[in-house]
Amino acid sequence: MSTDSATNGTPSIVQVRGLTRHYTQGALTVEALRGVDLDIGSGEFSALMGPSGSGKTTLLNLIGGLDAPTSGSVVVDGNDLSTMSPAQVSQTRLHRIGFVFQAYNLIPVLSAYENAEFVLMMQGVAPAERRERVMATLQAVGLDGMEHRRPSELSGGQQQRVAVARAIAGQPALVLADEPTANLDSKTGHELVDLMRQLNEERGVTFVFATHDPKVMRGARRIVRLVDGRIVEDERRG
Amino acid sequence: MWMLLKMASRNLRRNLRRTLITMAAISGGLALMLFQDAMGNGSYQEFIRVGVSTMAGHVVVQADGYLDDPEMETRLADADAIESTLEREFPDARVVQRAMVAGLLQSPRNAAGVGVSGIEPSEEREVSDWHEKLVEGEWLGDNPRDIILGTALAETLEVDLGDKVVLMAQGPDEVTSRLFRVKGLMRTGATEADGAFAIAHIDALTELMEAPGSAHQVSVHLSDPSRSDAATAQARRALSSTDGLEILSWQEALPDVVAFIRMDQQSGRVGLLVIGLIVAMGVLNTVLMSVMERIRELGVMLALGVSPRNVASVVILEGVVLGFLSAAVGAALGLAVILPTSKTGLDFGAMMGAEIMEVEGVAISTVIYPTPNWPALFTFCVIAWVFTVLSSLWPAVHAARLKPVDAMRHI
Repeated sequence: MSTDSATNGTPSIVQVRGLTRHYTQGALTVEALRGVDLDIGSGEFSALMGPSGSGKTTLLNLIGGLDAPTSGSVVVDGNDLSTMSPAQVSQTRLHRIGFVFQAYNLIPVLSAYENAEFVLMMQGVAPAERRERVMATLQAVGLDGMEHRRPSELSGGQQQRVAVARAIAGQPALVLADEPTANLDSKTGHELVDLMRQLNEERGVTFVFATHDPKVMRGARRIVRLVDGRIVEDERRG
Repeated sequence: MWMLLKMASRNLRRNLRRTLITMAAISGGLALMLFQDAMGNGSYQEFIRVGVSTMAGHVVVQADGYLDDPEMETRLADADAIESTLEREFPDARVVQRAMVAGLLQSPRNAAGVGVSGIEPSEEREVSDWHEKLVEGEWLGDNPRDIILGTALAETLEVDLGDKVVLMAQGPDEVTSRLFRVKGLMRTGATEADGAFAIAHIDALTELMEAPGSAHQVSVHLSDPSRSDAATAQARRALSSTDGLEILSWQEALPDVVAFIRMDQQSGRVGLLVIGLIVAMGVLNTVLMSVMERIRELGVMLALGVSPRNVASVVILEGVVLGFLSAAVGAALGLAVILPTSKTGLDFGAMMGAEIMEVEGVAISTVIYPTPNWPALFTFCVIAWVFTVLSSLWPAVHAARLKPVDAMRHI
């Protein structure tokens, strides 16, 4: 990791340089990202904002290694994703990146406990340590007592809390959240943002959101605005 | 792996109706295969039993060359000595002598070409069931003048019980003949046996051949047929000092029976394979549908960093669990039908309108006792399991090749 003035003196977890992403749809070429440079520091609570089609989700997917850039580089926790094989990128996602999706995307046949445990099992964490971390994480997100419930037995807000637990149980370098409050009502969305803010402050979990939810904006300490695939503003708040 | 197995088992329960229907197809197909194989096995065993008891034995001693060219002159000169040796070697078995003569059987009104089997009447009763085929008259006694005819042969010759017939055969130098009196009529259900076959005392035929004390065949009939190969080897050792013999197991003595069974088994197994492939296609369709319904979920797993191999493993494990359970249920269903019917038998007589059916010239009962062939049963179960797992391979590969971003957009 390197210390960069762009991250306000904190070590960089993410370094993006000259990132572009073009999609071909028939005869049409869509430039989703047009040369993005971005550094995200450890412990940040940052939001990527912009209208639909601005490229925020594309940028998030590229940071998460879910997609490959047309050109440019993405370095996550010292790992240059653009030089890695798909298997190595997959391993980096497993060990270094947590994800929270708009549609929760829990595994329906697993309980809340098992969903949170899932990543730890794939990481090869020992059973005793897995149990300790999962229980602690579920407690941290306010779901103790609901470990055995399946997603179908949980509300939307509770499911998203399980998703947050799953994302942080693996102790990733950063958590990427794509529109995490979009499917939640206002009150539940507020609670979720407050929860993630609390995890950020108490545990130092780095969060990067792609969102256009004002609730998230209000909670974010850094807002990066994108328009037409370019960063147009990078605002830090106190 | 344990988590993946747990997921696989639970995924099967997500659409329980579909899983149960697929299981029913696999297990029903397997049960049918097992039953069909047991039926075939039972038929073959009856076929072999009748063939061995009436035409050969579990160990057969003949003059060298008789198997390839069954001429009347190719005889065992000292059949009694061979019989004595075999009786000492196999004290728990039955040993019989037989002679075979082909000739012309004449009555006052007609004549017919026949094959006549010369037997030791009291010993023959212990090894074959010719005596049970009598429909009129009595079994042979010690009188070498008596003969038993097939009912169709008797009709052809227009003779009845007590009538005289003359057997003419080519002797060593000239045509010889011998007078017989019809003592019994038998009906086996086999066309050749009923229309061109007769049974007489062996002494009558060896006298006709001008070779008293000889025979064409001395055969050993074991109480445990599975010992045939070992007994054949034992007989070969015991008779090693006697030249000019061919000592055969029943398979070697009845190559046509063996060939028929093999061919029937092969064609039966081709049919079973076709059934298996059809069921496998159904399973493939079901598993593929199940994967297509879960594209987003599989995409999320890939996004979380689960390796494509592990994603494929979930799908394959579903096939493993489904196949295992289906094979177990199919085996249970099949055995639930096979085991009781193996004792009671299944009577196809009413359906066939007869009590006897003819297979390759051998008349066997229409009551078939399905007989499980345990190694084959196990093999069929394993094949059903393997086919199910193989059917899940393509969907598994499809799942592993998903791109997470595209998969998560799937509705």
